[in-house]
Amino acid sequence: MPLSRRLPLAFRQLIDSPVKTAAAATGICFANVLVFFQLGLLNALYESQARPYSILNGEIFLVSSRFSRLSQTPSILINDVMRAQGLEGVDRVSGLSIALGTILLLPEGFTTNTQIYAFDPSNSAINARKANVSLSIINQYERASIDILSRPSTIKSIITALDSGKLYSTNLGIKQLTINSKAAIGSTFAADVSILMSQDNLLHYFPSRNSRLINIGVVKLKSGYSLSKVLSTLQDQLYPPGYHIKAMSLQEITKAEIVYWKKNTSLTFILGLGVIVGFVVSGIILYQILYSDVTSHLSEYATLLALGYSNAFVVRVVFAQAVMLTLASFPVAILFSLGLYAFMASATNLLVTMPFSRLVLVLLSTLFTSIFSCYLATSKLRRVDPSSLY
Amino acid sequence: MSIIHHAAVSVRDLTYRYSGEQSDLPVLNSVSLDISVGELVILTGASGSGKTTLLTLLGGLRTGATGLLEVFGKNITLGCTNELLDLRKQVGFIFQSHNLLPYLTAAENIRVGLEIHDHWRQIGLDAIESRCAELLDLLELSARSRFKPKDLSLGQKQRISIARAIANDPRLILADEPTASLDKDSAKVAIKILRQRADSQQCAVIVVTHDNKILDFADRIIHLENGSVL
Repeated sequence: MPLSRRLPLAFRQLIDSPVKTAAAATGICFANVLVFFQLGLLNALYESQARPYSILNGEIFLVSSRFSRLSQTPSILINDVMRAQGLEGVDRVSGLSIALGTILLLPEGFTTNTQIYAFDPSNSAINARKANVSLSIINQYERASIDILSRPSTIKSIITALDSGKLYSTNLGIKQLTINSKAAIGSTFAADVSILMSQDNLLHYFPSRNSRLINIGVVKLKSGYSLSKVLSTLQDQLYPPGYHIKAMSLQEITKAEIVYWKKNTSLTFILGLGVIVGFVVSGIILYQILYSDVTSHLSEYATLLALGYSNAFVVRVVFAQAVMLTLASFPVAILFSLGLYAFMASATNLLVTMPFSRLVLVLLSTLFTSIFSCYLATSKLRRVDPSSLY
Repeated sequence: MSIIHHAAVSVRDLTYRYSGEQSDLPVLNSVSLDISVGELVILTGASGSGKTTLLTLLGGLRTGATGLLEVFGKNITLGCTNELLDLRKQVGFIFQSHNLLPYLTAAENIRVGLEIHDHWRQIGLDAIESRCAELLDLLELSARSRFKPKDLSLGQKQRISIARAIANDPRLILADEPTASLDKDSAKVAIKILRQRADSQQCAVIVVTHDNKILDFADRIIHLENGSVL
C-alpha cells in the first residue's frame, strides 16, 4: 500500500484541534516574522546606502583611489576625469560634487545635517528621469531640490510647503536657500536629508571649494559597448593600479559602499545580534509549541507504541506535524513581513526589499530549527516504555 | 516448575518493582504461571495487586522485571526494542480506558491497528476497510463507523477497542477490564467473542476483570494478591 493511502495521522491530529493548530501556526508565524524583520532591517540599512548610485547617469564611476564611501569621497580633478571622454565606447563623462552642510528647518527651528549633490545641469551626472528631477529648475540661482526619500519626519514641513504650491525658504549655512522642487535620491547614514543643486550653486554656498575639483566622475557608455571591456580599458590605459583615480563599475562601487558601512560601524554587530536573537527566539517558540503538542498527545502516542508502532514512527508523526505547521504558517509570515516592510519603508524611506534568497534562507532555517526543536521535544518519546506514559 | 513448551505464555519467578521503589513488597513477587494456546484465563485480585502490571509485562509494554518471561517461546524478560515491537504486533491489547485516537473515526481506529502489519499493507486498503467493516458488524457498530470517539458512548468506545485488538487475529489477547464500560448484553457479546477466539483461532486470552458475570467463560481463574499468585 503506497504511503499516500495510509492514514495521515499527523495531518488528522492537526485538523482535529483547529484552534490549537491555529495557535501553534501563529506562534511559528510570529517567529518567522521576527527573523524576517531583523534581516529586512539589517539589509535595508546597508542597501539604502547604495541607492544614490542608482540615479547616476552612467555605468562606470571614477573616484579617488582613496575612495571609501560616497559621503566622504576625496576630491579629484575634473580634467583627470574628462580624459575618459575620448575613449572608444564612452558616450560622455560628467562630474558630481558632494558636500555636507546644515540646513535650518522651519518652523521646527533646528538644523539638520544635509548631504548635497551638485552637478552641471548641461552635462548632468544625474539621470533626471530616475531622480525625478527637472534640470531647468536645478539651474536656478540659490535653488535646490529636496530628496523626498530623506527621513520623512525631518522633511515633513518642506514637503507640506511644496505640496501646497509654496516654496520653502531656509538657510544653508549662513546663506539663504530656497527649496523649489522634489527629487528622489535616497538618504544615507551620512545625513538625514539630501538635496540636489547645480555646481554653480554649490560653489556659491561653499566658496572655498576649488571649481576644478569634483568627487565622482560618471562615465556613460555608448549603446552596444561592453561594460567590462570599456572598464578594463579605462583601468589599463587611463587609470591603472597605483594611479590616484580608479575606475569602478556600479556593482563594484555599491559593494564597496556597503562593505565600508558593514566594517566601520557597529551596526553589523548590533543588527547581526538582533538576527541571531530572532533565530534563537524562534527556536524557543518552536520548542515550546512542539513540546506542548507532544505532552498533550502523550497518551495517543503511547497507544500507537502499544499497538506495535515503533518509537521512530511516533517521532516521525511529530516531525511531520512540525514540518506541516512550519510550511502552513510560512506564507502568512511572508504576507505579514511584506506589510511590515511596506510600513518600515514609508516611515523611514529605507530601501526594504524581500529577495527570494531571504525567503529560502528563513524557510530552511525555520525548518531546521523546527526539526531540531522536535528532536529535543520528543526525547522522552524516543526512549520510553509505552506503559509508563499511562 | 518446568516450562510447558506449547504454552503461549510462561512465567517463572517474575518480580517487578517500580523504579526507585525500595519497599519489601514489590508490585509482582515471584509470579509463576503458564497459559496455553486455546485457554481463556481470568486474572482477578484487589486493586494494586499487580494485575495490570503483569498484563503490560506480558504484552511487551513494560520492561525491567527479573525472572523469566517467555511469550510464544521467546524470552522477553530482557527483550531488546525490536523484539518487544514484534511482540506487541502479535498481541491484541484491550485497554481499560479504550485509548482510541480521538482524531480518527471508529473504522479508522480499527484500521490503525491493521496498517502496522506488513501483510495487511501488502493486501491493500480495500481489504483493510473490508476487515474493519466486518468487525464493526460483529460488534454491532456498523452505524457508527464514521463517528469519532467523542460522539460514541463509553460502551461503544470499548467495543471499538476490542475490534482493534482482534482485527489482526492475534495469537495472544490481553484484556484489561474489557467489560467495565459495557452493559450486561454487550459484555456478554464481548466475552463470547474472546471465548470464540480462544477456541477457534488458537490464541491465548488473558482477561483482567472484577466482573463476576464473565467468570464462567474462563478456563482458569488466577487470583493475584499483593503481587503473588494464590
